[in-house]
Amino acid sequence: MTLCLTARYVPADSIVSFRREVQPLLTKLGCNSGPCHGNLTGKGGLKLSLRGEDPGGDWYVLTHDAGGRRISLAQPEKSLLVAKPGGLIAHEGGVRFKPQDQAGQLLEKWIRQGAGDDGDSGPQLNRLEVSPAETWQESARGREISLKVTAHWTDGRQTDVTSLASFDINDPSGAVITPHGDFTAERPGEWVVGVRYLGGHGVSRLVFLEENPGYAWQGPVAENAIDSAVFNRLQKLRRNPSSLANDHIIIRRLFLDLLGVLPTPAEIAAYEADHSADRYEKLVNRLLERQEFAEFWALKWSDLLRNEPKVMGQKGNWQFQRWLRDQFAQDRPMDQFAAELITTTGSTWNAPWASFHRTNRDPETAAETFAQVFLGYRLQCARCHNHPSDVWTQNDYYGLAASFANLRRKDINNVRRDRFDKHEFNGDEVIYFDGRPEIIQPRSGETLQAKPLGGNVLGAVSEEAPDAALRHLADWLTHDNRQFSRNIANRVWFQLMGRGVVDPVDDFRDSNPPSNPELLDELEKAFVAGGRRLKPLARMIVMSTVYRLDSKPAGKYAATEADFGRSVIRLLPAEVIRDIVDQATGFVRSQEDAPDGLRAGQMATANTRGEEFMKVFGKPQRLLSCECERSDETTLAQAFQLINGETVRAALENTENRIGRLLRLSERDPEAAINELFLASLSRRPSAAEVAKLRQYLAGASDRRAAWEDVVWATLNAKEFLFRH
Amino acid sequence: MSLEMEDYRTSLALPVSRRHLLTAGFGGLFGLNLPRLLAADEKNATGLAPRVKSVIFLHQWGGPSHIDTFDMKPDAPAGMRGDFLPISSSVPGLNLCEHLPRFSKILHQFAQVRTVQHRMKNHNSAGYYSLSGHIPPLDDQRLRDSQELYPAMGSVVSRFRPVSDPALPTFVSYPHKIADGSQTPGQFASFLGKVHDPFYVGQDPNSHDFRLPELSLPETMSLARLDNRRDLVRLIDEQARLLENSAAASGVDRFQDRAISMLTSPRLKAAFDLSQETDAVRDAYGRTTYGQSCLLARRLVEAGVRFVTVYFARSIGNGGKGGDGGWDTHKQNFSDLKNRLLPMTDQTVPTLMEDLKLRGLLDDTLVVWTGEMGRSPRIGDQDPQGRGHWPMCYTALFAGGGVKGGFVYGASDKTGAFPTTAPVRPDDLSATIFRSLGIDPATEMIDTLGRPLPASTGRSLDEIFT
Repeated sequence: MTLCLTARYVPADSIVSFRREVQPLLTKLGCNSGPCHGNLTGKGGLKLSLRGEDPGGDWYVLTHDAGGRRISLAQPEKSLLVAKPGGLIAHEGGVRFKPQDQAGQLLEKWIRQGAGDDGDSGPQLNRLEVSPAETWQESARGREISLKVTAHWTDGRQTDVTSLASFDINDPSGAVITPHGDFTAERPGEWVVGVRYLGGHGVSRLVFLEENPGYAWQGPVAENAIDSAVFNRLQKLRRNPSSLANDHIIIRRLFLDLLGVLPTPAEIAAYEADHSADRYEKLVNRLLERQEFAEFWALKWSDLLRNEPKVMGQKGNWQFQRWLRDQFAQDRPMDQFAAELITTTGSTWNAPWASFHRTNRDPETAAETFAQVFLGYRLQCARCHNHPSDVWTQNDYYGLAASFANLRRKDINNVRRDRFDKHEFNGDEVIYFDGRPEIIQPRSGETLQAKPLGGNVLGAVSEEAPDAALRHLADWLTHDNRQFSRNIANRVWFQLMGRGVVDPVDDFRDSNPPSNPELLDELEKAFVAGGRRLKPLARMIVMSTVYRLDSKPAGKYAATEADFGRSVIRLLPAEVIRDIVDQATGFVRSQEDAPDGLRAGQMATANTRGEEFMKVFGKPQRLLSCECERSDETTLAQAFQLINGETVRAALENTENRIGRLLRLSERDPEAAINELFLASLSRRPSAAEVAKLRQYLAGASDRRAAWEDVVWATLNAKEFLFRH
Repeated sequence: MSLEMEDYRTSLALPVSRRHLLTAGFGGLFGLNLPRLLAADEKNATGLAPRVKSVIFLHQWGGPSHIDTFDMKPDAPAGMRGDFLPISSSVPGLNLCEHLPRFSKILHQFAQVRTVQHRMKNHNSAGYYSLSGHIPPLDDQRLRDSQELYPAMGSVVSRFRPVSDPALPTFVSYPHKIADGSQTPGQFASFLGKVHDPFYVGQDPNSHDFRLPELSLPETMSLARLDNRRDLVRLIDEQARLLENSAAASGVDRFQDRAISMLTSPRLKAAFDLSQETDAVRDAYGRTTYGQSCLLARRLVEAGVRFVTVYFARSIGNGGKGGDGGWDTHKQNFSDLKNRLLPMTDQTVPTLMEDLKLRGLLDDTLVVWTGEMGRSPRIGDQDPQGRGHWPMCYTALFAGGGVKGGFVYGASDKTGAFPTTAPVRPDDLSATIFRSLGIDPATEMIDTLGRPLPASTGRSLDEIFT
């Protein structure tokens, strides 16, 4: 690496700027990063501000602290600032450059010129330009590209700051970038390079196309704008989508994605028997009106809004879940839904939708939840320092938090199970206002007024309208706020397709762009055109050809899951797996704190003291507003649960379950019994090979019930059962 | 960090290939997204020579009194020094409590760290600190486990130094999940993902029917029947062929295989079968939950498990009434120590040490004994005989692989209230443990928001090793 720096060294006579050159260089070299001197406690006695956020302070530390021995004006090259990272004196952080490299030369020159701080009086950075901003390059023509970073200053000047800017590749496997912006990919693929300089951000999207000789488009017909967006991109990438999945796979997928339950054998048979051209559309319309659709979305939003019994109380927990369910059942426009959640105060028992302010108990948490849930922004970093990979500053963060700063809570009849636990709230809670919506930014000490992210500062708030800040925020969120629409549209897509166009769904930022920008635009358009309701967009998505593609890759030049050119194979959520185990086995589960047979997908509770099964399959505790809290990881504990766990065994060994009927049926007609089991659990008919082997297995068994349990168990443990595909 | 850079320095002397640069700290060099450079990450994790193969972490929940055990203050004023007398030990000049007579004979195997300090006065916060080695965001009983908190040390070990045998877990914890009101964070894998959760056993090894629910099939389920079932699953899986097209689906398949191999492999099951020990050995460890748990720890380490956490008790304590609680002696400090906590400790821990030594395991095992805090020098808390919480100064013990036996690191003041030498933070204890297993404490883990977080921000106490 150091060799590269040497090669590009060009001496210059100008005065070195501490603010515009030395500080960015220290950032670029990683000196002020979190693990090094930017750490809260510094490293080796030297503490710099994180990523150079406080240049004045850093200048003082470098030139005056430690008796000024970090800088030697008499012998610049012997300054610790040069000698340690330059490898002349032992440095725990290793050798960062050679003294003769550009970095070393720049530092030395700055010291020789007196190591001054040019202050912030000079021109300020207007914006950062990265070129190319996007490129599609034939891999055959090489997979190298040089990025150029240009700083646009407030005085109209433009300078090349490539060698001072920091680069960040979104996926560093298979690609490298030199400090001079020379990017090399080891294979065809797509990368995003984030660029930072002096608080400015930029990105470059680099696509190195596969050669795919003899490529010819081969795919089903595009039905709607979603298909066009996905297929256009596939053609540009020279890949082909999978073929359409068969009817049984589609019907299963549709039930699981929209409702979180399996189609019954009767529902499958009815669909098979319907030969009308619009049978799929009719089915979609029927499913969208079912109660399970609303319950499934209530489950999702219960996660996001952290509807958990410890803070909500058991009664509040159920009330809020039911309110959510009713909103989705009537397909409430999501902007109204969001505005109501944000602006409602008063008794959370009278108005469960005031619970947003019950679960988000301080202005900072409310700001983080608001940004993450409604805008898909992860603001958390900016609580303590400006966001390292995004545009958000601490002022943005606390300006948003100020909107929630005059909310107060009064508890009514809060009888704690443990009187020492100051964080249990099980009675009613009344949300009210007190004081002004303003907050002190902890680093600057400045009092900030309420200000939506990138919106306008709220003016003076009168005593009579203490809710003005929340109304202002709700107005800003719901009046043509594109990011709100894009975020919700992306979440609907994620729920149905198993992967966000922006992925993770709550991490929108320039350096994590949508994998298919045209597709996200179309989804946003459709969401807005449908009155910002969920059902029209959900209908459009499941009616698309793309939704109905198979999960098996196309033969040659197959599309990937990330292209949406094939169906995403994903472990089902905990609640769904438990519910379909019961459904497939025909088991009515008795349970402690809910009516017997109530599905896990209908329950209000979080995973706090529930069954081990739910926990190991990743039901969240609802302590975070992050989609990531729900886990779809696969683990050993899941395997034990399925092989030997109480939840599965109860369903399997119950004497009233489906197996009794299968046993009786199989005496007359074993093939019909196998057929029924397959429809009930796998939503398809068995193949001839399966029938033959299963009949053989069942016929050879001494204990017929046990043999049937084995066969049923096998269907529950099949990947086809556990995964959405 | 430092290791990565040293590697880089070495690489300068050799012809340097680009790939080499990529793996040898490219990210670190230019601050380019260090976090996601998994190559460097792995390198960090395995680059240090491990001191030991395994760690037995004996967690003393509730906060044992340091003054009444290993850091006695016989010259302190009457309201502080306590009822117990010091006795001499196998280390000349080193005293300990009179109710630890067996311990006194093996004290030369331990290094003591007498200046552990932090500021968490609540059990859950302090407990989390002691289990994860990371300072909690708040000092509050309600601190709850979430992906914003750090993982258990054993989970970090599972991430960076997993065992290779598929029939063995890397990290095993038992016989309780500890809690003070709500469950104490720091016992599971948090943002590292469920894959790195401990193999947790919530059963009492001292109970006559101790067995693993996971590893015990009901009587109706013979291994042959399990094999049949597995064959039937294969038959159905062949039809849909998800395994070929999905890493997650084939992952589930592999875990199913692994679970079955654990069920059928004698190795792990045998390790959990305490009945294979003679009565004499079982008696020597003590017929208590703690005693048999420590015996199980030895068996697990012998089988090759990397990190074993034994929790002393499920709850912090029982208000001086004895029972099965931990070390939280707000009341009846002296009688509870004398009648219950110290005899149990004095029977079990020395036996574990002797047994490890006898079987040649001690050199490859690090044994750590610590709670989440110490107890106040001033006597009189919830009753006149109690001692209150005291995180400002307490003692941790290390023994085994490479530990300088008889060494005392740091010193407390004349009442045991504050360190008189540089305080040691729980971060340093975790760094020491990670370092022992060859994990550079600065090794970075990525949390759910993509932030790079160090395994530990502490410093390995290399002085306590030879």
